[in-house]
Amino acid sequence: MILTVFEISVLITKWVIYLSVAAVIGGTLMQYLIKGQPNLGISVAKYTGLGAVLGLIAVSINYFAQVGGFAENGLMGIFDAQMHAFLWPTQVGQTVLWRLIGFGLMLVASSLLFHKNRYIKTFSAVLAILSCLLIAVTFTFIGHSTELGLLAQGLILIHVLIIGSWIGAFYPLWKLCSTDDNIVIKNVMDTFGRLGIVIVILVLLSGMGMVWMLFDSPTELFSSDYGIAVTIKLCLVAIILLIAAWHKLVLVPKLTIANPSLAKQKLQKSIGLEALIAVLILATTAVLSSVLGPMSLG
Amino acid sequence: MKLFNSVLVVTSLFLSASAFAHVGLGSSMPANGAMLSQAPTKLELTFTAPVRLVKLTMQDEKQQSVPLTLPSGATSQAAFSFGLPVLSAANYTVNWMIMGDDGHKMKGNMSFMLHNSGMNTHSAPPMTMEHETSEHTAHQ
Ligand SMILES: [Cu+2]
Repeated sequence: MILTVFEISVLITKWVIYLSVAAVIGGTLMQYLIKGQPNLGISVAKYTGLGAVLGLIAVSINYFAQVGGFAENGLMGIFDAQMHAFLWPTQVGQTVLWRLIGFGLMLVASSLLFHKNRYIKTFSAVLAILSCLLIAVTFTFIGHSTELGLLAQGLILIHVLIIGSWIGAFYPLWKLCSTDDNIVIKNVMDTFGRLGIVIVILVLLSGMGMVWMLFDSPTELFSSDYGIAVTIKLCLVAIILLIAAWHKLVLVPKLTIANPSLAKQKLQKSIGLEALIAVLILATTAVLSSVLGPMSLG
Repeated sequence: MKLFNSVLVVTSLFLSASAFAHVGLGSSMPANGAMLSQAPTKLELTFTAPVRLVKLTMQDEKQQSVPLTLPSGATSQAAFSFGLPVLSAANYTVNWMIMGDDGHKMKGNMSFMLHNSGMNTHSAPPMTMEHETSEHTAHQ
């Protein structure tokens, strides 16, 4: 099977959407963990702002690519009025609408964070949380979990929120390692590490729950294309978990004992590696949620 | 980078596979590959899950289209039924394109053959009819 221009566009923009969602959710979480670090706060606000802008662009291109794919009428098919009229009232259009609103709110929230006024800052925080929830909820409108009922939709909601907080936190954490104060780094990393246990448990439970529902038998994990994609994703998740454990148990404790600057460098590099694997995990997810379908629905 | 490359290779490998299990045509009346001696008055399509029908065409081997009225796509449903005009003996192919509740596009076709009803005595020639194919393509 050869993918069309539209299918490739849908894949790539979907990947960018996932990255943006992670930036928005993870950045919002990190704003709380780094309170009292104004410089870092500003770079995280820029990060969520950038995520929001990329999200707005990717959601729009993604929608036009979908219209073009349905129209099957060449490149001009993206403007096919009939197909727009068909798709917009469906869950596809609803998802686009709410994601645009969500990313738009985040853009406003990120720019208000620079404000000195305390009330405006609080307002910005409320907007940011609202934006994260809105965006996460759109993942229950579409995708394979919608065909599995309410429980699967609940699982995907938790999965998106949690995985977003985790993956989206890598950049702020990486940036944090450039600050001079090792005590601050250690404190934030410790808090994140403690949160991490909850995160890992929820990610695994929600992920396993969905795999359980999407697969009729474990052999499909190796025999079907969809299963192989899920297996690749699970392997990448296992790697990232090992790195996270290494941080928590080895690197972070070293920050305040012998040779802290070396430990800091190692930690920063290692967070970078985590982020790279996370980007690959999201790419695998984009593939298995768009060009492949689970057997159980066949 | 090595890791990235191998992921790319693996990804392209499994993308080359042709069949994707997904929502598809569960059954139809007439059945796919059916050989009929009496003209059907209805075309019924039942999908494995509720879908919205995006496109549907029915053609004979000379590319002559049989007019079909599509239901409005307001809600998704699993079973569709279409009244057929009086059909003449021919090989008919039905092409469908659907959107599943997951927002994905799927398409495929099925075909059946209508014999000349006056020629019931003649034995059917070996058939080379298209098998039902469906693909699950990129969609949100
Ligand atoms: Cu699908």
